[in-house]
Formats: sequence, C-alpha cells, structure tokens
Amino acid sequence: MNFDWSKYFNVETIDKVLRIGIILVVGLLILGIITAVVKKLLPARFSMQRKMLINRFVRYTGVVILFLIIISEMNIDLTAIFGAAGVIGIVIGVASQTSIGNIVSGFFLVSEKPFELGDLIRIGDKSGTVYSIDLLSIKIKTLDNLLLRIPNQTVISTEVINVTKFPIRRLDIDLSVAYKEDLEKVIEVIKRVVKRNPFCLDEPEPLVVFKDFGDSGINILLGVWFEKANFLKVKNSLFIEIKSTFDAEGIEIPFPHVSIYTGEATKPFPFVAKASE
Amino acid sequence: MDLDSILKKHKILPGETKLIDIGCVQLSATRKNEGWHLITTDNCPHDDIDLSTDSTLADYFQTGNSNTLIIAPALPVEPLVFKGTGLNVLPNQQLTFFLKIPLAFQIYFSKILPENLLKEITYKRLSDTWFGEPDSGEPAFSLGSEYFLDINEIKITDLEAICPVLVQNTSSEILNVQRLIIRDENVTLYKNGDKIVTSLVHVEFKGNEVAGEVGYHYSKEYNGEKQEIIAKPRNTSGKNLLKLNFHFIKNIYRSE
Repeated sequence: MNFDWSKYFNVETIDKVLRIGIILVVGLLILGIITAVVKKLLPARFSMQRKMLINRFVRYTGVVILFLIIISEMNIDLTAIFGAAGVIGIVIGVASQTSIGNIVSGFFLVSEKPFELGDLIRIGDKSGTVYSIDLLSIKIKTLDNLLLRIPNQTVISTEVINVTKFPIRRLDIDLSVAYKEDLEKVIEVIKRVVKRNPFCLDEPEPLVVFKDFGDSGINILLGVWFEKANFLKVKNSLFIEIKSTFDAEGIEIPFPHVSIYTGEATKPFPFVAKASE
Repeated sequence: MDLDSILKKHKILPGETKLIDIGCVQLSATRKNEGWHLITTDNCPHDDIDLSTDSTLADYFQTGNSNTLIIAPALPVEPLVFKGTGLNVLPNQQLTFFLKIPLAFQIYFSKILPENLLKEITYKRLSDTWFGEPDSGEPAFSLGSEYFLDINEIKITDLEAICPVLVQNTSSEILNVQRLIIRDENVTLYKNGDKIVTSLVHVEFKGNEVAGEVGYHYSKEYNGEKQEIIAKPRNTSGKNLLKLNFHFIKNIYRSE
C-alpha cells in the first residue's frame, strides 16, 4: 500500500505549522510579558489573594485568546468544535461530578472570602497558613512545614476558623489554686503578672473569672489580649511568670488529692510516723 | 547626665568606647574601623513593665568612615493613648489639659538624615495597649490617666515633654473623655525655655462614633515665641486628620 505522505508534508502544511509555532511562541512570550507587567502595576495595597486572582484572570484570558487565534489559523470550523465540546462537556461532567463540585465551591470561597493567602486557619484538626487557593482545592502550609491539600468542597462544608483575621487575640489560660488560698490576693497576683508582661495588652482589659469549685482546687479562667504575632511569646512567658510568681508568693497550684477516711467523714485516716531504726 | 550632654555630637575615635546614660538606660557606643557597635543596657528598676527579656541589646552597624554619633530627641514610635477618668466636657465647651510624654532618642551617625538612623532608645517602656475595637483598632502605647489642668503644675524630668491638648466639644452630648489617641507621628517637639513642649493637639469632638477633626499646631502660648524646633514630626503629611480620636469602652464580656 502506497501512503501519500506529500498530502500532509507539503509546503503549505509546513508553512502552516511554522506559522502556528511562531504564533504560539510569540503569543506565550507576549502573555508572559503582559502578566509580569500587570503583576508589577498592581497596587501594593491589594491583598495577595486579589493580586493572584487578577493575575490568573489575565493569564487564562490570554490562553483562551491564543487558542482561538491558533484555531482560526488552522482554518478549523469553530461550530464543529463547540458542538463537539458540548458533547464532551456532558461526558466529562457526568464523569467528574466531584471536580465540578470543587470548582463551584472554589467560586463560593473566592467570593465569600473567609480567609486570604497568608492567613493562619484551622480546619477540623488541621492548622496552617493558606498557601494557595486554586480551582479544585486550597493548599495549606502546616505549622510543621508540610503541604496539605484540602478540596474546596470540604472547605465549604467544614467549620473554618481564621486565627489571624483580626489584629489582636485573646489567650485563655485555665488556672487552679488550692482551697486554702486568699482569693483576693490570688487575683491581685495574677493581675500584677499580666501587667508586667511586655506582650500582654493592657486594653482590652485582661479577664479573670472564677470558674468553679473543682475537685482539687478553685478553677480560674485568665484571658489576656495580645497582638497576634506575639502568640508564642505571650504563652510561654505567662506560664513561666505565673508559676514563678505563685511559687514566690506561696500560692499553691493543686493537683488531684484523695482523702481517705476510716468511717467517720470528718476524721482523717490515722497516720503514725515512726522513726527509722 | 542632663539633656544637653546627651543631645549633642559625640566624637568617638576608632577603638574607643563611650558610655552615655539616658535615664536608667545605658548606651555603650564603640567605634570600629568601619562601623559602630552599640549596646543598650536597661538598668531601670522594675516599675510597670518587666524588661528582663530584652534588657541588653547589642547591634553592629557597618556605616563607613564617620566618627560622629548624634543623639536626637523624638517621640515614641507608636501613637499614645490617654486614659481619662472622670474627665467631662459639656456641649459647646472646650478644655485644655496637659500630659507628660516620655521622650525617645534617635541615634544617628554622621548627620541627622533618615538613612543615617541606627537605633531608637526609649528610657521608659510604656505599656502596649489597643485603641479601638478588637477587630479594627490600632496598636498604641498607654500614657496612663495622669493629666494636669495647669501647665505650671507639671513637674517633668529632662527626659519628658509636655503635651498640651485642647478638646473642643461641638456635639450636643456630654463628652466623657475615656480614651483619647495622640498620633505623635504628626507632633513637633519645641524647646520653650528649659522645657520641651509638643505641638498643641487640637481635637474636635463631633459625637460618638463620628470621625472628629484633629490638628497638631504650633502654639505661641505653649511652644514659645521663638518656635525653636528640636524634632520634626515623623510624618509630615496629613497634619489635619479626620479620624476617630476618642474611644468609648464597651463591656465585651456581656455575653459570657
């Protein structure tokens, strides 16, 4: 069987392929330049997320325009392509419902803006900084530097906590003091520790609340406000300072106690100390 | 050490070290061949804030050939919040009161130029506070609640400045001055006799949650006839600002 190669590899075809190649190379180059220029021209006050969205819009629009130019250069009838695209679209749509769900969820995420690039978020039991918000998923850089991909549909249907949305936060510390302690003195000592800590804000005022009479002592909630960047500093320094000040002031931090009785509720178990031989 | 012996050109030759006391903070400046080794040591007795975490700070700056170190006065880097207690201004009334502001000190090499600034020292650590709501406010330093109605009543040290504040109530409600912010980046420092006095802070109160107008102006009465400027404002633009200047405390724990 004689195959007529000249039908495909003639001057006209080679000319067309070359022209398409040149259009493709020049087009991608121009698109790259336009994207870079747009990136540079975007005002600094725009958030990282807004910049990313504008850049992607420019790039995808450019790719679509380039695709249409190449199609018209190839003299392909677009109606046939669109017709085929409709059929293919239905097939792909049925086969990839999850992906489409993710894409639609992605649009909701972008419009609702519960977080932006760089925010520290908590989804379920995972925490991390938002690394990218893509068509199908968001990527999170966890605090131990792992990349976590979460499908957009999961993000939409899960409770998301944006830890760094607001400039200041409150750190809650549960404390416990022995029943014998003078509670007014305890409050005064706690307030003094907070006031002296350089990372605690003096306003909004720290919260000191007696929570309940616990099994081993009186439970107290201490809430201190701090600028979000100081989380680790404030947490570590407060724990050290509270412990050392309580020690210095003779305030006992209790641990679980068990009282053993020998029949009468108010009389303790008789304990006799014997000198060792 | 008095203020004049701090605020001058300090000539230090390569290999030499000079100790300069700024209040209870000591600056040790060592001239190296091509730079400066600056160590600040905080010897302040514990008062409001515990500084033990950053009591000694050492930095080296590669600056080139100049053997001159200049110390210039400034105001703290963050806005200052006055916490009023029982201070009220009735409608269509105005009140002038005075505050004490601790100075900051800027250390330059060669000449006082923004690019020659090496370090800033505050001799007194002010408490960090927050002005406004937790979701939208701004960080600031707390000035406390001490105020004076007569400028002659104020006893200041060499390292403090007097800040005159004029509050004008043009609203129809009583103004209870709870929190007032002074954006000291717009404030000029003047020398008036032996005192350092800031520009007059003129605040107009137009009502709760309404942006009032504030201006930072030279006042012949408080800043002296000669207008002897010793520190220009950090931010020279926007001398008349239309912002929220007062904050009224809300009980954020109501729901708990």
